[in-house]
Amino acid sequence: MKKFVNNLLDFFLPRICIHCKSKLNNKENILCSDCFEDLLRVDEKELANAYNHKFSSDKIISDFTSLYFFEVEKPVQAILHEYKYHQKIGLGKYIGDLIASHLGKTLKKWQVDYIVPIPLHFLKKANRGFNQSLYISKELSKNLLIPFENKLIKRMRFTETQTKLGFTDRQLNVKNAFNINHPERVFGKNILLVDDVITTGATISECAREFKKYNAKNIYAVSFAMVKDK
Amino acid sequence: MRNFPLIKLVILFCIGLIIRQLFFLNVSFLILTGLVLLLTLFILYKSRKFLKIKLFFNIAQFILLIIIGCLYLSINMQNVPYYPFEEARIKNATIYGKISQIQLQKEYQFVVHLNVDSLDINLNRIYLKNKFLCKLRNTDKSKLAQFYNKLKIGNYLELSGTIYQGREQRNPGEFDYQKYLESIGISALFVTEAIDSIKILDDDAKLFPNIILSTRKAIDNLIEKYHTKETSALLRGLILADRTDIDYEVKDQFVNAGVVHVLAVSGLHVGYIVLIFLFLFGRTNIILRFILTMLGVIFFMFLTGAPPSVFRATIMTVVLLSSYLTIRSYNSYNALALAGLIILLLEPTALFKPGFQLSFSAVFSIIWLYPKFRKIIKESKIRSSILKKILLFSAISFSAQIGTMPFTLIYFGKLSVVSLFANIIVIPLIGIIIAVGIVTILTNIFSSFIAVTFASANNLFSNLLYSIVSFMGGNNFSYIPISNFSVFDSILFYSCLIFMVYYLHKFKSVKPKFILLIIVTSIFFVFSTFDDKQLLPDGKLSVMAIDVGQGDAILIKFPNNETALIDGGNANEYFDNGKFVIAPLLQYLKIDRINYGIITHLDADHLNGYISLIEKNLVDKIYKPSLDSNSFIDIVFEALLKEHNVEISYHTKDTMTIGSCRVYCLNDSLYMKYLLPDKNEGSGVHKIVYGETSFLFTGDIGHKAERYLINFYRGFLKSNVLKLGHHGSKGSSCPEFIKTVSPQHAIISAGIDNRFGHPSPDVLQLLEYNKIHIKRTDLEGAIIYVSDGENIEITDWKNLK
Repeated sequence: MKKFVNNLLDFFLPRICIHCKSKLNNKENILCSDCFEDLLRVDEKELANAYNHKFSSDKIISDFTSLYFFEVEKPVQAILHEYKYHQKIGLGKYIGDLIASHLGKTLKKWQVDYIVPIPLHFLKKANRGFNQSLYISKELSKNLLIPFENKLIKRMRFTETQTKLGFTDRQLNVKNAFNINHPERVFGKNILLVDDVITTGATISECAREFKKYNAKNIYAVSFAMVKDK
Repeated sequence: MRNFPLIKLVILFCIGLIIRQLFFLNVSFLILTGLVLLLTLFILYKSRKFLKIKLFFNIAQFILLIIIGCLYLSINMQNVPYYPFEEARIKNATIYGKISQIQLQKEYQFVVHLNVDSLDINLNRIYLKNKFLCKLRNTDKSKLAQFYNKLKIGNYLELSGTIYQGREQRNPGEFDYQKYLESIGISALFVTEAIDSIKILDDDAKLFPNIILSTRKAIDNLIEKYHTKETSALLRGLILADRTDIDYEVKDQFVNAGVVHVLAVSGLHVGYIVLIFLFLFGRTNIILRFILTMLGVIFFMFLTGAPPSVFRATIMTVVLLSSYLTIRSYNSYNALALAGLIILLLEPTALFKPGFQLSFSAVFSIIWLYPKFRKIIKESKIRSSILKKILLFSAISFSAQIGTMPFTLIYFGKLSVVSLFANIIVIPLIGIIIAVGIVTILTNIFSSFIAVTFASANNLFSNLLYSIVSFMGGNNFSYIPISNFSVFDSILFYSCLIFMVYYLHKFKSVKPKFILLIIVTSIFFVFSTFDDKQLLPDGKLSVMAIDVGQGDAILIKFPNNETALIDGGNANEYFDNGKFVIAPLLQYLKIDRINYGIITHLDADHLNGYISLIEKNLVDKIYKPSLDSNSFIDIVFEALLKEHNVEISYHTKDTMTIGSCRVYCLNDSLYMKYLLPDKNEGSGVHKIVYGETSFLFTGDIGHKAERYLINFYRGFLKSNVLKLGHHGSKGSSCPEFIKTVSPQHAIISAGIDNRFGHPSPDVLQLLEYNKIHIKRTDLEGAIIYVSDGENIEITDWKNLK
């Protein structure tokens, strides 16, 4: 029955691949099977490498994982672009599901108490319309049965867009940008930070530092995509 | 296209509808063909051979869809309403029916649509199932308002009054009101002034329509409370889709300026409403914001009564916004096709109505052409970003104008020259007016003081809009009249357009592009003149008795393209023939001036319609009976002529040559003045001779003047065509006169069921006895004779294709 409804809907409102724009059949979702296979998974070794490179200096982040590599002109970029800049909110659910199904085991292992999306400054949120990490976190929380906290941390400073900044600039840019709202609830807890894409890790580190201030136990991080180090 | 099967389906369905509209196809034949096709498809599918003959499979599929389109229209055409009575007007009728719709109150009248199930005429009860448009009038505004507020949709009423038929097309190029009414499901009109005698037999009320109605009423009251008359007329049009209050002339100026589309609630307005809602709900959660906006747009659709353009825009908006929330992708063509399918399934005849056609052609060409323009503008060397934005904005407007051009030319007969420029100014202004209007209505909830401030700002904006439009559309050079744009021309236009769009960008350099542009344009102009046919052809003498109801108005076009108009029909506070019949007709016929204005005598049914023509400065010279200083009307009229610098000449024995025609005035001024002091008898009598053919026009003369003419002119009166004196009354056309003139054709200009009983049966009998071919405006509408100097032919303009 559900299949029939789906087929019918596909006739009236066909779905096309977000990246290559070819028509999707009823088994495919968002990406066609070719583009889906084109996604580049981050393997264990590369993860360890990236951890060393991004977070090992101050050991604030206990562990981190990421699903795909972010590549220019590739499906991951297309998904994030549509999601963030064309307000296709439905994609948040898709990304969350992907993360949960592929990385669910790792995330469960960490024994996380709260899932926390990286907050956006309210001006930026007003501009974009929504916080992209929020809908991914919501879906993750639904899949992993871990409570999710949106109001725990707040972004105080409006930071410039980081797309054109280097590592040290980014660190400076986000310095003291966050503030914890409910310190008492952070104490001794394992917290999972969620972001759509991790580039240098500066934002996540800064966010984690704020949690650490109030004695959070372990801070973990997960992202949908990760930029390959050069 | 391959990815979107819906688009294919909708196009084929539309083709089916069009085929059924053009040709009559038997329902059983259609069903049979459809079944046979279906069966073959099924067998092919089962035998799994269809892969080998895919072409056949596809063709069969196509034909099947077209047949479904044909069938769908056939089924829907079975219950097209028509005027159910023989008499055009039935007094003292009592009708019973349920209210299906109540329109906003206007001054001393409001309109309800009534589903009539029975009626009493002369104590006979008749049962039928028709929708009547009922006008409830009363001179006591507050009493009417009280009743208006008491009525609810769904009430069952008993009303007594007059049933009448809508005005049919009486003259070339005229709007057929009855046909229009039938197309919206109404078969007759009904009017009553006796509000007190209306009984509500059953006060059952439908919940949802009444909620919408009371919202409309509340908004209408607020609009009227805070704004000037002109602004409320505009806002009512923009927010409630009720533009009956906007003046005819103002609308004409909007047409001339090419911005009339902003007056009809259209996709543009829905777009503004979406923007306003997105802004209002801007601080809420994005999902909530989208859902609220969707609900808001849907409510707006119900509020405006869902005309096709609003319906289309609403469907497209809902599809777009829900594509954000779900994982489905959005494609504009597909959304447009979906909107088209839904509207056509609900009302297949919408395809042949202006609202649907204009809306869909505009949106289609915006989706199709705008990206191409945008590419050109983005790649151009223009630096200034403001200029780029203005160019992009005008590109949208320009795309829409190209796409709708054939339809605007067919429906309005005008090609606006200033349109592009006017739109750049008017469209943002309309957006501001809608936004401020909505804000006024919303702030009224909290504080009427603030609402007044917003409203007065809106008064300013709308005044600005009106003055811009009247500046741009008020000039004669703001548009080119194009009256004979046909369906053939439209097809040609679209083919040329498609050809150009596909081949233009294949050339790299400018020169071949330019050459292609010129070739295609010239091909279009050459081919589009192929089917042009002038109703009143150049180089011939045409005589046209315009149907002005009870009265006279005869338009003459001479072989040298000069024109004369003998009388102008009546005009009173209810209807001005000059303004609503003659002036639009002249425009339709591309006649910009009346060179010889002839007024036979100064009775209302001959003179009054002329006044608005003179006020519009359309008349060069007036020939009239000599000044009667006892007549107040005559003195005022001459003053009017002097004010508008119209040359005055009096009827007197005279001959003129106009383009190889001889025009004789047969009146002897002295004789007329002293021996026939009666106005009618003193009418100007004119004879026009062109080659072997001749026409005689006798105004309102009676037996006395006829005898005088017989004595004085004898054989000279002999003519091929005679316009009978005094609308064919028995006081004129005595047997001797008919015998002397001995015409082959007789024109009778009289109103339908006029209260004078014109034309008289005696006169008709006399004409029949003399085997004279009679043409009556009350029976046939306008009558056209064309003479080439040897023969006179009657043009059957109603069946001219």
